[in-house]
Amino acid sequence: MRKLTLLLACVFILAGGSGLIQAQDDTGDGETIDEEEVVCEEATTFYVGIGNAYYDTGNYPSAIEAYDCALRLDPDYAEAYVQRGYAYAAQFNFEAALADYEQALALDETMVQAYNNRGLAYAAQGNFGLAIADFDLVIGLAPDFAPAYQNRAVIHAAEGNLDLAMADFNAAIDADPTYAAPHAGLAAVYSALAAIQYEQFFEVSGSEFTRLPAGTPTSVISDIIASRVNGTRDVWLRLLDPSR
Amino acid sequence: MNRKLLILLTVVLLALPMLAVPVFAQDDEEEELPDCPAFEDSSNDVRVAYYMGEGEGFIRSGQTQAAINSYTCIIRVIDDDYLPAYVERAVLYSQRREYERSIEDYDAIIARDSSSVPAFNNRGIVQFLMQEYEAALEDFDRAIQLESDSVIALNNRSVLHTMMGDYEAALTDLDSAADSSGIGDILALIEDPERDTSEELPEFNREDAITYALRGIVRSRQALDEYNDYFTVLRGGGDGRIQSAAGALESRFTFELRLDDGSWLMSISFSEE
Repeated sequence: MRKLTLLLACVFILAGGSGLIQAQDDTGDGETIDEEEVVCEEATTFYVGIGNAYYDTGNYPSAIEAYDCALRLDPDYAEAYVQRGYAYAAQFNFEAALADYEQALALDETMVQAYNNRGLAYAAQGNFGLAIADFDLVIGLAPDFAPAYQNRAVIHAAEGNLDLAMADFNAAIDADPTYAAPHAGLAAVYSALAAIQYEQFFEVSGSEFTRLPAGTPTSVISDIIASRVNGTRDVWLRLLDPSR
Repeated sequence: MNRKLLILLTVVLLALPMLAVPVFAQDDEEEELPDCPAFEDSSNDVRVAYYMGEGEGFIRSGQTQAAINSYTCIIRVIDDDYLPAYVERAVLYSQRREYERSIEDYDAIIARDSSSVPAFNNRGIVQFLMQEYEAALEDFDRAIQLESDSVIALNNRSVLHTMMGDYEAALTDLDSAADSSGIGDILALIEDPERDTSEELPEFNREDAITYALRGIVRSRQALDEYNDYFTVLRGGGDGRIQSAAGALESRFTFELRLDDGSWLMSISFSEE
C-alpha cells in the first residue's frame, strides 16, 4: 500500500501538473497564450490558426480575441478582418461583422470572401437586395466560386424567385460538382414548387377538402422515398386518372 | 512572521482499473495524412505558424486529436525538421497515454538535436509513466548534464529518486533546484523579521515553490519509513500515539478516486496553518 501510495504521489508530481512540469518548448515558437492577459508576440498566422481552431469549436469570443491579436500585429491583414467578421456574425453581431468586412474590402477590394460574407450578413439582416448585389460582385470576380451561386440562389428562393434560384443552384453544382449544399437547395426549391402545385390542385378542384389522388404531401414523399428503395411504383400508379 | 507552511499532500490518483489497461498497445497502422489546406500558397514559415496556432487553439478547446492533426500537418507535410511541433505532439500523445508514440516523437527530436533538454526531460517523464525507471533516470541525468540548472529536470529527478527510495539523492536534487531557481532567497527574504514588508518582493516564478512541496513529500516518505521500522521492530504492537501519528501521515497520502470519466484524475491540495 505504501509503495503504491508513493508511486501515485510520484505520478502526480511528474504528470499531474503536466502543464507546469512538462517543458513544452523552450524556443518560444510554440509559446502558449495566457487567457486572461493575451500577449501577441507570434507570427500573425499563428493567431489566425488559434482563431480558426476556436471558431471550429464554437468558441467565438476566444476566436475574436485571437484575430484581434493578428490584427494588432498587422492592422493591414485583410484575411484576419474577414475571419473576425465571420466570428462576429456567428454571434449575431452583424454590425461588427459588416464593419470588419468593410475594413477588409478597404484593404483589398477584390477580396471574394469579404463580399461573400458581407452578403451573408446583409441577408441575415433582411437586406436581400444588398446581399444579391454582393453575390453578383463575387460571381463577377470569381465565376467559379460556387458558394456565391448557392447564396444568391437561397436569396432568390427566399424572395420567391424559384426559377432564378434553381438556375443558381444548378450553376453552383456546375462550378463545383463536389459541393453538396446546392443539392439540398434544389430539393427545397422542388418542395416549394410541390407546395405551389398542391395549392393549385385545391384551387382548380374547387374545394380544399378534395381527396388527393396519391395521398397527402407527406405520405407521397415517404412513398417516393420507399419506392426508390424497394422498386415499387404504387405511389405513381395512384396518380393515374381513368376516363369516365 | 510566524508563518508555518504545512504542505499537505492529499490526493494522488491513479485509477486501479486503469492500471490494467494495456497502455502500450499502439496502432501500428500509419495514420492517414491530414488535410492541410491552409495557406497552401504561402511560405513554410507562414504555414508552420498557422498550424502551430491551430494546434494551440485546439488544445485550449480540448480537441486533442484535432491538435495532433495540426502538428502532424507540420511534421509530415510542411517541415519535418520543425522540432516544436514534435514537442507539442509528443506531450499530447503522452496525455492520451499513447506513450510509445510520444517517445517516438521525442526520439525524433533527439535525433535532430541531441542537446534538447525538453526532449530528454519529457521523455524521462514518459519513461517513468511506462515504469521504465532506469531509462527515465538516464533521461533526467542527460537533461541535467546538458543544463545543470534545469529546475524542472532536477525536480523531476528528485521525484524519481524518491520513488526509488533514494531520499538523500532526492533532497540533493531539490537543494540544487532551489539554488538554481533562487526560490531559497525569496523564502529567506519573506521570513526575514527585519524585512520592510511595505517593499515589494523581487519578481519570482511561483512555480519554483514546488521544490518545497517536493521536499515535504520526500521527508514525509522518510517519516513513514521510520514509523514503519518502529512497527516492524515491535511486530505490530507499539504506542497508540505513534500509531495515530503514522496513520495521520499516511492519510495525507490518501488518494481519492473519481472514475466517472473513466480516466485518472489527479489533484493536490495545500493548506496553511
